[in-house]
Amino acid sequence: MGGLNAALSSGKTSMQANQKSIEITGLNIVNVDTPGYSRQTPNLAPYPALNTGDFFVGRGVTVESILRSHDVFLAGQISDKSADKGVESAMSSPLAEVERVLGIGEGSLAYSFDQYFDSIRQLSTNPGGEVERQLVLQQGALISDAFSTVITELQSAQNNINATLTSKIDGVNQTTAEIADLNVRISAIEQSGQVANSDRDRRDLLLKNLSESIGAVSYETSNGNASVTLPNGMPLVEADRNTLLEGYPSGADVALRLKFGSTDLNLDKNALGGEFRGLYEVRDVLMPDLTSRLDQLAYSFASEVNTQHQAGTGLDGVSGRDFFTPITTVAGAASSLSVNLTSTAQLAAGTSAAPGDNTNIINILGLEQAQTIGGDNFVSYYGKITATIGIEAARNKTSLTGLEDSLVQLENLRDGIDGVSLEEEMINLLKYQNAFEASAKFLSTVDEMMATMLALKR
Amino acid sequence: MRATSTTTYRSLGFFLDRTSTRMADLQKQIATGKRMTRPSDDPTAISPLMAANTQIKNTERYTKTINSGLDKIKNMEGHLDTINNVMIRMREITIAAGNGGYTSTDLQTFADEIGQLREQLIDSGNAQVDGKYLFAGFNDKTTPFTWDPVARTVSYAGDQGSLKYEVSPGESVEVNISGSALMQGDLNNDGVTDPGKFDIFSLITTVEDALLANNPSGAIAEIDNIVTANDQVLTLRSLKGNTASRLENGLRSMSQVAIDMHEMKSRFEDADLLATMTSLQQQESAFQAALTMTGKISKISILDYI
Repeated sequence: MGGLNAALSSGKTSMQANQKSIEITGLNIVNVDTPGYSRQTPNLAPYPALNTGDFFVGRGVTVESILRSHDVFLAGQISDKSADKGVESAMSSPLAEVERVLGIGEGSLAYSFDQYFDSIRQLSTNPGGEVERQLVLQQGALISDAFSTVITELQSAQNNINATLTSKIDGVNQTTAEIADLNVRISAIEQSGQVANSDRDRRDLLLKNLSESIGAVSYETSNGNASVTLPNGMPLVEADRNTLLEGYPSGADVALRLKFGSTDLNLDKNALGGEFRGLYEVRDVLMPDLTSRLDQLAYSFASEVNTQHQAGTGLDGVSGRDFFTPITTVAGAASSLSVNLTSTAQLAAGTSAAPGDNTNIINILGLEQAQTIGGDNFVSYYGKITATIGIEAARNKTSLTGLEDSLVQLENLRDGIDGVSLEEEMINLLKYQNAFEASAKFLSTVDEMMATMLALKR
Repeated sequence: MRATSTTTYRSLGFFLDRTSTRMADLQKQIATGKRMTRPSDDPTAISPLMAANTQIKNTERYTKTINSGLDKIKNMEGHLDTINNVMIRMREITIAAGNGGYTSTDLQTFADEIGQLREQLIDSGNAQVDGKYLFAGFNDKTTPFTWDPVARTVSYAGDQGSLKYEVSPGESVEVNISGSALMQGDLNNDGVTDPGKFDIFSLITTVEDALLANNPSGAIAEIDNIVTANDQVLTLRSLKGNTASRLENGLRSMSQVAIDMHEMKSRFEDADLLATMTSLQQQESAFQAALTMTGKISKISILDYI
């Protein structure tokens, strides 16, 4: 009887193991579209054999553990590339905005310069004309408006960046809190010798997101905790504790700091990665550069025109007037440009008060092509400013496309190795079903044998 | 590497995304006709494009300036012709008066006509276009020449301003003649009649006074001076004729420059429609193929076979 009983028992283990396997297959199938899910496989192993009489006979099969397919190298690559992609993708909308503001077509600053000098050129053929003089004053006001519009729109782009930064802070804090929770659960589960498969999947996904948003770097400690730091090494998550990220006003901008209980650590752009870094780059590097160059342009323009205008005399016989309100400092020049003259008679078209005198106008016209700003005239200097943003935006576009390409490749690789393939799962399903059916057949055969045996005695 | 449904759908989605973005770009280029609408479309083309824009704008203005200069000179030409005729008539009268045999009454009549010629000269000198005096230098809102019947002199209220028009980058052309240069022989604009030149008005007064004083030989003595004074007008007239032909040339070269600049601007800015359409068609067929493939893939399933 010992043999048949043992067979029954081993058949039972097979039924159980295959049921478990089917369950795992089912889990894989339902999670086929879950982001970050790693395929799980039952690790089937025979029960240790027993020495019965002269033979070692096995006692059945068991699911020893559930394995989670995981490629550390790919996960690290995806994390790195996500951080790079975060930088570029966060830059792309502010860059598009700035590109629109510093345009090249009609309505751009270059166009305003052309219009302004055109009105002066028109005045040169009729220097005493009231309408022509009015036009020059109007174009002066228009170019002042154009400068201040550009500055205002750059500021509003900057405000948008600040709003975006603020909105992303909560997301980071929630993510780090969840990672800290997961650390607790994973180390608790894994202390008992099991593997916390789905918790690890979830944590990997969160780490990838965190890498994309703030460029966080992580490594795993020996007890299964993920230790997360900022690119400069400051801790975000340490075992069960996460450090809170906080935004605080710094001038007109939002700055970031880490809160360590009683002390705070202010973060500069080098401490950050990912989307935060991208936003900081546009806000703290590109925009101040563009603004200061626009200021320089406005300052040079105003002072050059003023100097030449002072040399002339208005219809009222007064000379030495400024065309634009004098600007004392380069900083903020673009937003403070305004026309100083209050009447058309004050416009100094000539070097005398004679209405037909256009000599000074001809001199002012010379400024249009004069290389007054370091080898550039006004329009070509503006052209260089737009070229800077154009080159940056084009670089961003190319780089973002490339990073998206490689991320898709990497994620495909990861899903190819760790992800769920429906075909494979269906075949596994067949396999486990067949094994289950075979075990059942086996059991019923053993049952028949037992019945036969029991029928021996009437 | 295994291809799973996730990887297949991700790749497909990514490809469709890319292709539709590219198609949207191309469609925008075709719709606007421009390949450059933002600085990032071609950063290297920004500088030449802006320079072309400035030049196109300037060329339009130079053309208007040149035309306005030509108008001014054409107007001047008529008045200079009148002045020339007046001088010729004056010479005729002076020669006739010098023939002898005329009574003092006859000479008086000649003197009257000379006086009228002076009026005519003053009128021509005070010629206006568009409310501005042609021969007044910069002071073009004030009547330049006035006859003082008591002192028997003509005073000049204009100045020696030389009105220059910028007719091409850095090139200015003088488009006026100051009244003092024309009538008073002050070509170097120092306010004093140049040596060898004549103040036409005082010449007329001298002749008139001689005739009134019954002194025809006094009038005859001025004939050479009248001829020289006429030359003075003719010289200025031919100078302006030269300026006019220079302006005409400028006008022609401006229209050529405008064509060149538009061509250059178009090269940097405009989309090559043929090439753009072709690549749009390429993208469209790629897109269609991808869509068809998507349909096919979702039809094939292991579930149909087990």
